[in-house]
Amino acid sequence: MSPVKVFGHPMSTNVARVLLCLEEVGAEYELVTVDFLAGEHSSPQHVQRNPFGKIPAFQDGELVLFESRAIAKYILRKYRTADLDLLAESSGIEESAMVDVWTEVEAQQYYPAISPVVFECIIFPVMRGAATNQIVVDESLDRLRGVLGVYEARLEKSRYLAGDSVSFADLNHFPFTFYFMATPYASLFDEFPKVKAWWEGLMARPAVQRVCKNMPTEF
Amino acid sequence: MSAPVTVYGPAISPAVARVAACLLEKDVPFQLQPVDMSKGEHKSPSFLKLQPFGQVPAFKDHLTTVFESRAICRYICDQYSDRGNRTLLGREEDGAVGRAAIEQWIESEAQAFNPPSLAIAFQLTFAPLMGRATDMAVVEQNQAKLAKVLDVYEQRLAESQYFAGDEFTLADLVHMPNTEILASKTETAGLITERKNLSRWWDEISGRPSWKKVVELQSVPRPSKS
Repeated sequence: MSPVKVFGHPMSTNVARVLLCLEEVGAEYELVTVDFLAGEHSSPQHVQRNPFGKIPAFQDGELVLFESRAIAKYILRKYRTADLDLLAESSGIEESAMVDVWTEVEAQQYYPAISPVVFECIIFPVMRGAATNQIVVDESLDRLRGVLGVYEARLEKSRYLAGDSVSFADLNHFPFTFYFMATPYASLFDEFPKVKAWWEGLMARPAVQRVCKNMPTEF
Repeated sequence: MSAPVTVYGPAISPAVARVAACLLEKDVPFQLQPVDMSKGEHKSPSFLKLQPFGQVPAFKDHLTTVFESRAICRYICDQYSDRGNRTLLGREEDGAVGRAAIEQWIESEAQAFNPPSLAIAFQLTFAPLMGRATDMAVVEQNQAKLAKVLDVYEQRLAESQYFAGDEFTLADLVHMPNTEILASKTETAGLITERKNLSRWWDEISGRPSWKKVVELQSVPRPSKS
């Protein structure tokens, strides 16, 4: 098999989402840099791959995909083995539905609460020299506290979000949480011991460690 | 047929309508269980057991409970695979490639289309129902964001009959509840009608019997508990 290609930049949260899945399944891949600071994501060539002009885009032979979660699921399906089934698709329909539920929860509940903090504290200042909007940060932290309360209750009953085994649902939380931990608000997680332990477990995964190497913690 | 499928929440909720549309496409009988949100029923301990974030919909069948409308839709397609429309998640012969083509547009709906269109829908439909004033500044800001997404969609639907290819799939279905609201409001109908391919797509899919049934369900007066 020729290596699959990821178009993007390793610092990008959504690119990291895809790279983590590739690392977890041990696939051979090539990261083709898209210089978003130079506007390369808006170039006609890139827009052909991602019509929204965003990163990542992905190519496997003739297949071209965009949207990091769709790309990630394709990768996890393609490289699935009996021992490595991060979508729990061979476990049964109800089990894979739980992975899907908590994957949707990341997208619909967790991400909208945590991402504004990352955008305001890191991404906007670094990319635009913008000042942090503390009102947005404070509202988001309140919202995140509520979400983490639900997660804490969930992780009291379940070793990982979707069940007893780690899954795509857990891995999805890596990119934005990683950067959140580099903001002044990391200690929020101390209020939720089960969540904190779950996060530390994810960070200890070899694949996560490999992806982290290309993601800065100092800005 | 075992115990009926239950969907918790009002049909006018876009996320509930998304699930209802999928069940109707799949020809899976279900009952809609009202959740009186004006009385805070969605935050009651018994409802939180079904949906820990206190939101609608929740879904229950004889095997399990599921929440998050897009996860419910995928579950319905998997669990009831032999019923109704069998190609909502792609044709078996197209495998992971065909599935991925659908998934990228489902994600596009969730990430790009839903936030601005839901914000508009909330202001124009739900705020008045809750006795709140419509914030037209929010509507206008989100119309501008949505227009950019719809331009991408217009281009896509020029190249392709439906989002993922030649057939109606879940990628189209997930867009339907918010599009119905946009198309029905004078403030926003132009977003659809002024785009030739988007109009064609919407005219076609909104004519599906399953969607007509959803619209019917949405117009049933809500039971009042007094």
